[in-house]
Order: sequence, then C-alpha cells, then structure tokens
Amino acid sequence: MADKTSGKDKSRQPEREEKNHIPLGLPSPPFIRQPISTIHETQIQAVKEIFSDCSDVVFRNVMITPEVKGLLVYIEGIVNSADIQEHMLRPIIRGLVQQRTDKPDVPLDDTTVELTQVKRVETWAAATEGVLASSALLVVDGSSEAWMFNVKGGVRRGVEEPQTESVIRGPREGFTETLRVNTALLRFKLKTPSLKMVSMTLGTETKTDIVLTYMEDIADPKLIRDVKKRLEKIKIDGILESGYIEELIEDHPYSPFPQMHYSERPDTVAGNLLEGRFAIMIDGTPFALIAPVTMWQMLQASEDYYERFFISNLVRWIRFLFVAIALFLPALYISITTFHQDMLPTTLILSIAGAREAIPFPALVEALIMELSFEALREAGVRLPKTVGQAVSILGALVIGQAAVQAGIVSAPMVIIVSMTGIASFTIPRFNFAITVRLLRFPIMLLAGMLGLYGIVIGLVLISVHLTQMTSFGVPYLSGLSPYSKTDTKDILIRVPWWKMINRPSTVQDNQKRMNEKINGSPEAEEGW
Amino acid sequence: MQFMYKYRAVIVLLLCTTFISGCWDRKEINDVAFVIGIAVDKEGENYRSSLQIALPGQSGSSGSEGGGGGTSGDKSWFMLSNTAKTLRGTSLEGQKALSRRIYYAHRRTMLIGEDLARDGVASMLDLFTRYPLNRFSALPVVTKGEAYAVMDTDAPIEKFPSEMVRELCFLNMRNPRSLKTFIDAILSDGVDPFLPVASKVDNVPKDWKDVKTNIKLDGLAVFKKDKLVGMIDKAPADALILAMGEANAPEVMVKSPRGEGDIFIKLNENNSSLHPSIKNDKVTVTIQLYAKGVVVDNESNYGDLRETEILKLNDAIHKKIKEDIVEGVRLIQGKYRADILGIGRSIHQHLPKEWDKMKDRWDDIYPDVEVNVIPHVIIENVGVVNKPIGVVEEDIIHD
Repeated sequence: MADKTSGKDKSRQPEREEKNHIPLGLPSPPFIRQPISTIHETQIQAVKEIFSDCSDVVFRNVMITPEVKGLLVYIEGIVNSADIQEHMLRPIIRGLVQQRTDKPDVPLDDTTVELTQVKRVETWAAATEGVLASSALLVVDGSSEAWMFNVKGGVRRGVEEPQTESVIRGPREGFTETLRVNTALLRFKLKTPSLKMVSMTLGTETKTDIVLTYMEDIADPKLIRDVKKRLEKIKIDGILESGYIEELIEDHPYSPFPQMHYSERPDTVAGNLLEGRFAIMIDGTPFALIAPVTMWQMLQASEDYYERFFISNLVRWIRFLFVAIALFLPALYISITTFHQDMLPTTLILSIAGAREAIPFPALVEALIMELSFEALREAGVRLPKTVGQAVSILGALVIGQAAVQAGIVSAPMVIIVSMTGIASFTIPRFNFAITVRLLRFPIMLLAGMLGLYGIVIGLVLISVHLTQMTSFGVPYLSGLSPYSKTDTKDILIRVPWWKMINRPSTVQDNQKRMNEKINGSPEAEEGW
Repeated sequence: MQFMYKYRAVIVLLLCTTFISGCWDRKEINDVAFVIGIAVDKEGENYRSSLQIALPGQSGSSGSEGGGGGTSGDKSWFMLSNTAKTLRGTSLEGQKALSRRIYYAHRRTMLIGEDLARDGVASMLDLFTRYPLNRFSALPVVTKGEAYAVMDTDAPIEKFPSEMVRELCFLNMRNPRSLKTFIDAILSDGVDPFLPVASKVDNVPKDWKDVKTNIKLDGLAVFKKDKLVGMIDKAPADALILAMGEANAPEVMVKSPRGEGDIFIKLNENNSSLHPSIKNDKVTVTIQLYAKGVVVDNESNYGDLRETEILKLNDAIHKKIKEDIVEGVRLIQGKYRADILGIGRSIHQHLPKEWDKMKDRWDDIYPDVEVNVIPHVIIENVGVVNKPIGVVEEDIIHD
C-alpha cells in the first residue's frame, strides 16, 4: 500500500503505517520512522543504518549538479543494472553538463530521466519499502523528498507450459512467478476495462504483492467486498505461496474439501472470471486462486470446454465414475469379501478366495498395507529428483506388483484393486481435490472393514451431509444440484454445447447473458454448395 | 474439530446404530467353505446330504502359486457327506468335520435322489427356502439313482459337476425350473411340477482308456404334488418342453415328404399358448404352437426346396410336432396323470367360473381332457444351399 501513497493520501499515511505495518519481529531502526532529512550527511547515515549488514545493497555517490550531491541506493540482483546505467545515470550526467549554466537549484524532474514510474517519497519507511521492492532510491542533498525509480529486474522465469495442468488442446502458456507477467497474461485474454485488478501488499516481512482480479460488471459486488475484507484482515509475517492465503480466507478451515481452486492457466482464470468469480494472483507463485467454487468445478478440466461437447461429456462421466471408484473401490472390496460374499458371482468369489488362500491378514489389513505403500510410493515419486524417481516406480512395481504377491503377503486381486484406485485418483483434474478423495478413502475403508456395506453407507451419508452444508464464499458447495438450479445443470453432469450456454451461472446476478441466442448451426447454405 | 462439535449428536446417533443393529457378521473369505452344490438322498429313515465344497486353493488361480501348492489330488472340490434325521441335521453333522463355516449362498444346484423324490420332497424343501442364505434361484434336478453318485462325477469340462448341471439346465430350457418355480408349481392348483433328470454317463466306452464320468441331462421327472411319479424319456420330454414354449432352439427331425432320408429343422423362435374350451362338460384344450424354422440339414434326396416343396415340408413338420406332443401328452395324461403343462391352470385363467366348478374333481377330469395340438411353423430359411449338395441332379426327387 505504502508505495502507492502520494499527494492526497499523505494525511492517511502515518496512520496506516502504524496500523498495517507493526513489525512482528525485531524493532526497526529508529531512522525508519522519521521523515527524510535535508542534510546529506544525515541522509547517508540513515540509509547506511537502515541497510546495515546488507551486503547486497549498493550505495553510490552521484553528482547531480556540481553543487548538489546525491546518493543512489539499490539492491543488486533484483534491479536491472542496465536500466540504471542507461536510462538513469547517463541522463543525469548529461543533464549535469547542460545544467552547469542553467538553473542549478532544480536538480531533477520527471523529464530528466528516461524511466517510467518515477515518484517522490518523503519518509524513510516508504523509501525503504521501495528499495526492497526493486526500485532505485536517489536521495538528494538539501531535499526532503527522495526519488524512486522503478528499475525492476533480476532473473525471472519465462512463460512456459504449465506443469500441473497440461492439455492436449488449449493454450500452452502458464503463469510465472512474476506478478506483472501474470496480470499481463490475463489482460491479453480479457481486453476490457471491466477487468479490475486491485493490488494489495500482504505480509509484514515478505511484503508480497497480490492482485485481486474480477470482472466488475459480472462478479457480485457483495462477494468482492467480502473477499476484500477477508484479505485485509490477514496479518502475517509472510505470504510465500497461494496456499497461505487460501487457508487464511476460506469458509471451513476444518473441512478436508478444498474451497478454492488454483490454476496455473490464464485461460482457466479468464473463464472463471467470466463466470463471475474472482481470482487472487500472488507474486512469487504461478498459482492463482479462484473462488467461489463448487464441487463440480473440481471435476472439470479446462479441456472440457475446448473439445467437442460429446467427447467432453463422455470424459466427464468417466471422471465422475472414477471419483466414485477412487473413493469406494477398496472399501467395496473389503466389505464384499468379508461381509457379503454372496454378492459376487460364484466363479469370481472362488478365484478371489483362491488368491487369498495363503494370505495371513484380514482383507482390511491387507488393503491398508497396500494403500499405504501406494501412497508412500506416490509421495516418494513426487519428492524425489526426477532422475531417482524412476527407480522408485520400478521398485514399487516390483515390490508391490509381484514380490508381495508371490511372497503371499498380499493377494493379486488386491493389487488390481489398489492399482485401479490409484489410476482413478489420477483422473481427477484438480490435485487438491484428488488428495481429499485419497484421504477420505482411508476412513471409509475402516468403516467398511468394521461394518461392511453398512459402514460404506454411513461414510457416504457423513460425506454428503458435510458437502451439503459447506459453502465457498457463500456459495453452496454442491450448488447446481443442491440447491437445484435448472439452468446451472448445463455445466455439471453434462457439458452442453457452447451454443446452448447462453447464460452465465445463476450466481451471477446481473449481466447474465453471455451470448446471443440462436447462433448455433450453419447459416443457410449458399447457392453453389 | 468444529465439524465434529457441530454434528456430535448426529455422530453419536450413527455410532449407536452400529452397536445396536447387530450387523456384525464379518467373516473372512478364508474362513468360509463355499458350498457349490448339494445332493440329497434318502438312506432308510435318514437323509444323506452330500455337499460339494469348493477348494479355492486347488482352483489353479495364479495368486495361490506361492501358497504351498495342492497335494490332495487335483480336484478343485471335495464332497462332505453326512446322514441325519433331518436335512438341517446333516449340515450340522458336516460342520463338525469342517474347519470352515459352511456357506450356502453360492449353492446353485440341488440334486435330489430318485428314492427321495418318490417319497416326497415337501418337508425338506423348507430348509432351502427359509433362510436368506439359501437361494431361491438354485436349480433342483432329479437324478437317476443316487444323487451323490451323479454329483461325484469328473465332469471335466467345468470346474465343478454342479456347475455342469447348472449349465445343462440353462441349455435345456429357456427358463430352467428354479426352486421358486418348482415350489410355485407344487402349491398351485391346476399344474404339477416337473424337473429335469440328470444321470451319470461315461465319456467314452467303458473299456476304452482314460474313462471319465460325465453328467447327462435327459428327460423330465414328473411330480404329482411333491412326489415323483415317473420319468419321461428324452424325446417325449423335448416335445413337452416345446409344447410349453420353453424350448431352447430345438431341432426337429422330419422324414422327407418323398424320397429317402430325413431333414432337420431348427425352430429358432417358438412360443405356445393353451386355449381351453368346455362343451357339455367335455373339456377340450388346444395347444397353439408358433415357431419359425430353418432347415439345418437335409440328409435325404428330396427336392431343391422350392416353394411347393417347402409347403410340403411344412406339412410334414406340423404332422411330426403334433405326433410328438400328442405322444408326450398321452404319457403324462394317461400314465402319470400329472398335469405338468398346466392345463388346469389355463382353465383357471380363461374360464374361472368353470374352474371353480371342477377344481375339486380336477384329478379325475384331467385324464379325459381332449388335447388338440395346432402347430404353426413357418420355414423361413432353407440354408445356404437349397439342393442336397452331395446328390447329383438326376437323383434328386422333386415334387
């Protein structure tokens, strides 16, 4: 907030400083609370004290006119040194030559340097913040105003294909760690002034820039007010990733289900903004948070909207089926083999019985062993460097797939069940939702091991009760089906073709129409076709 | 946890149900002995039940390879035979000699010995129907001779002989008689139950090497109420099944209308209905049989099956079917006096008032009922060739 302050906000400045930036750690050096002095020696002393023991801070004396001395302060590495050299120092020196005869008492103005985003600050606090946020600071002898030049630079990653949400068909660009690149990527998609981007700075130490973005004429203003309020309430020393914010502002902190979803893809974010949701982009992470969400969205991939709708529907149903499999298959296997042996065809139950003949454990224990080792393998595969990761999968395939079966510790049908479940959990497009499903599988397995199908039903009822009462930023988690909205079903169990998606979701109050009606089909075939 | 606090009442209630519902019936699959089939016989005053119990470890599934292998022969099942005064008693006896819990939910066939069937099966059927573990859809079959002997065959084509019986039943009839339909027939007015008959045969002549015993399904066992009154041979039994509209694509052999040899006609679709009428206290029942036929084999020197010849053939098959069915009906009507076609039931359905008058005397009336058979067979297809393929043109006899 502070670096935006200028001119008319001056009266609010000290108050906000006190309120928002109470240091959580060590007390700040005394100079930081003072206005910038006009005496150059004091200025130098202040800067050196504020940045004492900061070996990456560069202090450089600059002659602005023969009489006026200045001190340039910036942090090496996060600024663009070429910018400083080419567009800041050279004009000043050139100006110095010209100004020898001219007005010596006006050292600089906006037109002198060739940089954009030049501004004046009056307090050390603002100056310090600017330096830390990649600006170059120029303090001038005899002036109580210091100059901040935006020379942001440093090495950042380029725009690449997102790793977590790859698609066959669709844009390949993904967000990067640089906030401004991300906002630009979004702006490329939505070329309208109603795309709003509200900046905030969170974290007393990290001073992380975040941007709350939404479509002004689509998103519900109450929702935006609500999320702004929630964001302003955050007081924490650091925000390093979107996950921090997600946990700090969500509705149900104790629920295993994710209530915001994240995306690395500008097209996903744009699509969600067009449906009246907001997104929060955080500097330093390629993940943007999107809310409010429903559970159905967790089962939608961006490609659903790019492929033909028949295919998308089929794929979506497969996903629904496999979510059920990921959640219930091991539990069903346990309950049927230990409680309801009469439910399987005779030949099937006999071959299962044959395979289980030598297994020393009850089915529940067997399933837990296998599921846990599968989870461990997955975790190991994710954490390990890629070169070692392959060894893990080979080991896992050997250990789980074959040796354990041959040793008579687990049965072959259980291996099939666990692999099926594992594959099923990978079909869920949202990783955070997939984790939830994987986590919930274990209590359901325990219930199934204790009570059979009855236990599974209890688990299902508990989950349903929980889901129906959940909200994400005031929107019911199952909305569309519960509470039922006829128009919203167009994008839940089925994905209707685009020419049928005439309205936005019913959570959008105004501006509901997203397209003209009757645009489907080809125009009347012209003569000669 | 907030969630837990909010719903502790619901959670406690749900937990209560787990403790008071008495649902704890967990049994591991390795503690269960799956009964695949059962053979019931009479031994003096006692029942002898022989349970065919699957040995999953012997069934050769790949998962059991490491489990130590089978040493007790190569059969994937073993027979547990016991006698007791009641049928339930036999399985209690059997449980004493079995380390795993006997589990009946997968029993799908039930062989009833001939002697037992003659004595009546009503009292023992209760066991098969009362407890939900015993399936109503199990298929009862009457055996020639001792039931356990039939069950203890090699039946090498299936894993279990009782499985073989089951598959045969499904081949034999479109809707095989299950316990449900069997008991239904025992209890209904105007219809008598019948079951298929299974017997033990050898797969090759007895003195040939590698003799394996096998199971054969031939004929029908005719019951009067719950007592077996006789067995019908294969040919009239097939005719009766056809008359019931239950046959599974039967093939009928017809003598060629002219010339030498026989023609086989397969009746792909067949259906029948009974139409009773009563005139002057004389009950007449017409069996209308509808079927579509295909010539599958012409081993005669008859014709190249042109339209006139097909019509001749049609007449021939009508005549043949009629003869067969009439013969079968004469057998059950005259010899066994058992109404397995459900003629009485058809009167009950079509002429309920008349039925009320005669139902007490039905047993006396039934043998004198006049049964007419009117088959309607359409030969739709003569096969790929229409002339007998191995006969020279000059030798073919035309109409």
